[in-house]
Amino acid sequence: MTKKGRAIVDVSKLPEFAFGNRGLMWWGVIGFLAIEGTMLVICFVSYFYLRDRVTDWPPPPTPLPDLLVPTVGLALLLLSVVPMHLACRAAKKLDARKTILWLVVTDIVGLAFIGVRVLAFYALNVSWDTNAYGSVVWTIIVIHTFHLVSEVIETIVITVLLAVGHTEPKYLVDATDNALYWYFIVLIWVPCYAIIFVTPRLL
Amino acid sequence: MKNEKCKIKNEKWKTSASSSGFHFSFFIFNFAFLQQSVLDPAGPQAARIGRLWWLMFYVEAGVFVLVGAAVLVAVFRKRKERKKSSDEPDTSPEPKRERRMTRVVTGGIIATVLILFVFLAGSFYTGRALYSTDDERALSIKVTGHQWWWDVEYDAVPASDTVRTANEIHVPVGRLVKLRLTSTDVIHSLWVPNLNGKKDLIPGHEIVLTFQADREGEFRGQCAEYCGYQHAHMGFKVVAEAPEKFYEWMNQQRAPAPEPANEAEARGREVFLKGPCVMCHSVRGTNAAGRVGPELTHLKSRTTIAAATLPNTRGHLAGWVTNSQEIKPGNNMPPVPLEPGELQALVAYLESLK
Amino acid sequence: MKTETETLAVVEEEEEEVAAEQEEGEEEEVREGDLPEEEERRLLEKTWGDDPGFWGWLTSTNHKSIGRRFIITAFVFFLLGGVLAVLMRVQLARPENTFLGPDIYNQIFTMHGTTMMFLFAIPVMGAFATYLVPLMIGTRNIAFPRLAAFSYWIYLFGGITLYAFFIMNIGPDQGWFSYVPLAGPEFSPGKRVDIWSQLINFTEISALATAVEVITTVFRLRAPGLSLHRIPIFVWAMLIMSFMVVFAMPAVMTSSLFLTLDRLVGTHFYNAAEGGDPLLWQHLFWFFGHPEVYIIFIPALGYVSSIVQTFSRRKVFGYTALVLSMIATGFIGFGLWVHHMFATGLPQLGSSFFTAASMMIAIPSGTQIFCWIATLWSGRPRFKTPLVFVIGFFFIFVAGGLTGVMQASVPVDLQLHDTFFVVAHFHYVLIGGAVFPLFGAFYYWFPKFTGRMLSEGLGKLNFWLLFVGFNLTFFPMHQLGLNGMPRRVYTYPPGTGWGNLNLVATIGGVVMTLGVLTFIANVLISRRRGRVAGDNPWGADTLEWSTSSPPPSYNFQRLPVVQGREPLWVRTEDAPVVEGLRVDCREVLVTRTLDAEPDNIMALPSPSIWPLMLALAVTPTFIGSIFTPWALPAGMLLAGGALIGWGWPKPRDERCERKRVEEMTDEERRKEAARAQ
Repeated sequence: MTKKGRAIVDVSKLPEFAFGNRGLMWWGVIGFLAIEGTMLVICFVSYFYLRDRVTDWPPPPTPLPDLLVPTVGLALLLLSVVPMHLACRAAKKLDARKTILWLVVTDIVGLAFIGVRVLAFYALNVSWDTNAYGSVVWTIIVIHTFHLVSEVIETIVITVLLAVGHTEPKYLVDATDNALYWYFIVLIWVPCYAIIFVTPRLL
Repeated sequence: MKNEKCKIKNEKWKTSASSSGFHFSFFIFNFAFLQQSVLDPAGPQAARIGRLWWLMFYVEAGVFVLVGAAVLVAVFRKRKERKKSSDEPDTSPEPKRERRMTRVVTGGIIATVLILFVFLAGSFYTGRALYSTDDERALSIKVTGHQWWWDVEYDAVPASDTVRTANEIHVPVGRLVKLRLTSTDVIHSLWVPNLNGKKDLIPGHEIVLTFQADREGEFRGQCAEYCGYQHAHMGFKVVAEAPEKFYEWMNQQRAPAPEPANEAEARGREVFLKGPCVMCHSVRGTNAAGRVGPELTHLKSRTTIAAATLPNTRGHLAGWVTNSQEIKPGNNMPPVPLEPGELQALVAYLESLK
Repeated sequence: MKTETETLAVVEEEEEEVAAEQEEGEEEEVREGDLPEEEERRLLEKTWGDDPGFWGWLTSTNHKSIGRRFIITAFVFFLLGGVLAVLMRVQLARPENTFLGPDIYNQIFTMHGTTMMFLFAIPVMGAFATYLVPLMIGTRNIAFPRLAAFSYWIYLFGGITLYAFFIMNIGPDQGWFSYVPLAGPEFSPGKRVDIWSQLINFTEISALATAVEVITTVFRLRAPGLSLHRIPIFVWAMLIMSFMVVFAMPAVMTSSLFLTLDRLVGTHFYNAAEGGDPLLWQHLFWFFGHPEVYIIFIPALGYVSSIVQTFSRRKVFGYTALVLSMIATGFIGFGLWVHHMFATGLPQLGSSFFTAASMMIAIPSGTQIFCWIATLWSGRPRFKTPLVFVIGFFFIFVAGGLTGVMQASVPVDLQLHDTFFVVAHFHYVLIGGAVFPLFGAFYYWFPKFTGRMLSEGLGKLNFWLLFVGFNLTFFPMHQLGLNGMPRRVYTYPPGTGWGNLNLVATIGGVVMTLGVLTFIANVLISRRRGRVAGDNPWGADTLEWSTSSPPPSYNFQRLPVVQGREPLWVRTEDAPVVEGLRVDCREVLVTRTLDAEPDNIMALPSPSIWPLMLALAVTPTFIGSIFTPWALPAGMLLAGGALIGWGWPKPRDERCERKRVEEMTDEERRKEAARAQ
């Protein structure tokens, strides 16, 4: 209709939402995951740097951290991937009801894990102001907890959003991108756990 | 004397060092008379670095001239305007010329790589020469950085023979000196440009800096790492002297402080010992044993006070004691309020600490 | 199995809905091509324009409004940093000068470095990207426009906070590098260092947000046909910069977090007495600090490429070589940080590795210079102000690069490190390598920003004053460094003989100031009285020049379809355009990452107050956490509220959404889901 004689690329029939890396939000989430991942990796590097400066680790008389509670927590967190994955699958099928259902399950597991996390702080057996070892393990676990709490809250907000009837496809796409963040929180906890609770036993 | 042997290990550096005066003509401003210059080496370490520096300088000056000329020719050279509408952009440049330019650019890159390789090798060998100079006979001195002065201790066996002084490092000419650097507060950096590059003084670390002075003289140094308020006034000097003179100095430093020779000095000592001075300063032979401030046993044998800030004169000493904050604001010495008579006596005593 | 009545009920419901939709007739979709051209433009303007008035200014999510603010704010900070520099030069003009005392001088040099690095150099590069990248790749807005608005507000508030504390004479005084233990709790009591480390958080968040936007925009919002191997060098530069930001900034955020914790709650990261290490700070800080230099420098390469190509009237020589060398610079930039730490007594072998890496970075830089010289050589250069600035860049930057190679060598660096030689070196690379191209870029894009040309005469005067003043200021500093003058001294004794050269440098500083004043005069005069520019005054090749100057809020009435690397130079008469986006919604075309084939359509959000709200929630949190850790949970509540407000569906945007999945039939749902995978 405009500018006569010009060829036209008609895009009016293209889909108006898309999952995964076809959508914009996915890229934003990946960007922030890269940033936060880098931040935690730098904490890990700092941990080993500080470890390298002393002969005994943890520096005496600091005792070793407990293993039981954090390991239970790790299992619980890994478990939360299952309902999240199911929610994600339902969302991709545009099945709002199932998405909400599985998100609620994920929320419950997430909240339970936050409870276990509080106990994990006691399992460290050291305070942040005891020595540099205490400082670095506390910082790693606090940074992770901060992300964890924000992510659980965000998931709850999305659950509520869908539950009150905002089931436009866009929000289902958001739910799947949010899942990405959840997976990140879970996966990055594996090295955090290994470093905080296992490394002192090996090194 | 045993250190005679290592006096001049490498004759070669000497010639290059003396020719550095000639290099100076390349800079518009010339301060070769200074005793604080990278380009006026007084020892093999600084000389080696100086040589590497001049190699880089000449090669890079050449590179700069070539690149600059290429830019100027590229923009100003006369062109045959092929088309009338010369603003028409060229989106498909002539392939033959592009290929020719590709070759030239590739050549430029290869030349860059080669030059860098030469620099890298030069740098590596210079570095190795600098750090492989560890010598058992080296004179070992521990230097501790403080805000804003230098604590200097000459290691000795037995430990009671340790000589402690401040802001002035005496070294014998021709003998390797090994400084063990550390700090008790913030990070400082010890740098005497005429002798060697700088090394940092870091709490919790001990870093070694070696150098050797091959000519007599006083070389000024200064803290190079920003260390707070008075970073600007944290100087010191290295006094390189003939071995005999150095040992004379060493023996004199080892002795306890001289007894007061007259009444004024005796009264001064009393003021010193009763006043707040002893909290921070030590004078061997008295019960003043503070370690917070500079050692004063042989204060008057030093030529400057306040970390090479002022000449060590009676007037400056009096001014410093009364209110050092005016001279070097923020330094850690509190003002010492004294009666004029007390001050006179105290300064007389300090003046006697030769 | 549904019973019959149920099925009937469903049918009835559907019928009701259809009726409802028909009632709201004005809610009908309007797509490009549905309306006559004039009317379509009016509707596009209504859809994409900012809301009217001051409220509209606060809520704008248009990349051009945000970019313009960003550029102006960054320039204001540049001027403030410049004033501080002049004050320092006055103080150092002669030995034992008493113009400034150590307290104020130390604050000033800290503020100068912090301002120029964190409040000017990084933000201004992101600002240019925010303004120009969407235009250059042919889309209507940046991805995540609200994030872009937030990025600006948080940057602005951070800068204001820092200067507010500085004016109250409690500005940071530990140096922009904040070495511990000097910056630690024991040797810097008070709040000065905390303010500095919170400023880092403000500006890092801003830079990181911009980086994520730019990466997403470049990867997904390019016009059809603008495949990855065709995007302008400028866009490559911004993309590489953004990736560097993503991986470098977390290092300084982490290290300043450690510093804050050490100061606030008594952790021991940097406390040697309790197993910490002051050198950890240096490693982390320079792991950010060195890439930072390239974060500033790589965008400048983009400006230079654009200017060289346009003013030599030929396509740039060695596109692939230039892109690869920028990528190489980006990677090598992360492997150099230890060359800031040669004096800390690291093992020699390790140091040699960093020497090699530091020298290696000269190879891509050399490649870039050679390619541009070749472009100029075989082109027909037009001596407009932007090109003159680029020629100045060649001379200054090459000199700075060469002195950089000297300092890559450990032995030479041990002499030059922390002296005025280094001050000279990095001003040569940063002013020569980034500020000169930036001025060139400003002269180049000013017509696009404002619709008017800057004066050529004043422009050339501006250049010569800056060029002469710059060299007069910084060249003598090389010699000062060799003569033993360390950095960051507030004065020096007369016996050192440093007085004359310092005086020359101060005079140079005055000349530079005149240059900057000329620039300001030029901008103020030309903004009103400059020659009207037209769409493409320089005959340039990139897409931003195909729209009007300044561009309309929607950038392009029709998204272009790109046919080659120099879109406007190779465009044919019958070049196709994109049609079919909704005119009544902020729809953008999402294309595939590599080949830029149209993939889907995305509706971007309308203007929103929430970015400002979030910034207003985060700012007191950061400032408050200087005084008490409890500010953090309180701030999290505020920020969480703002984030929910941000994310909650707005009635205004809802009409641009697809209908709810509950309202779809199973068939529709299956079809839609399949199309969206």
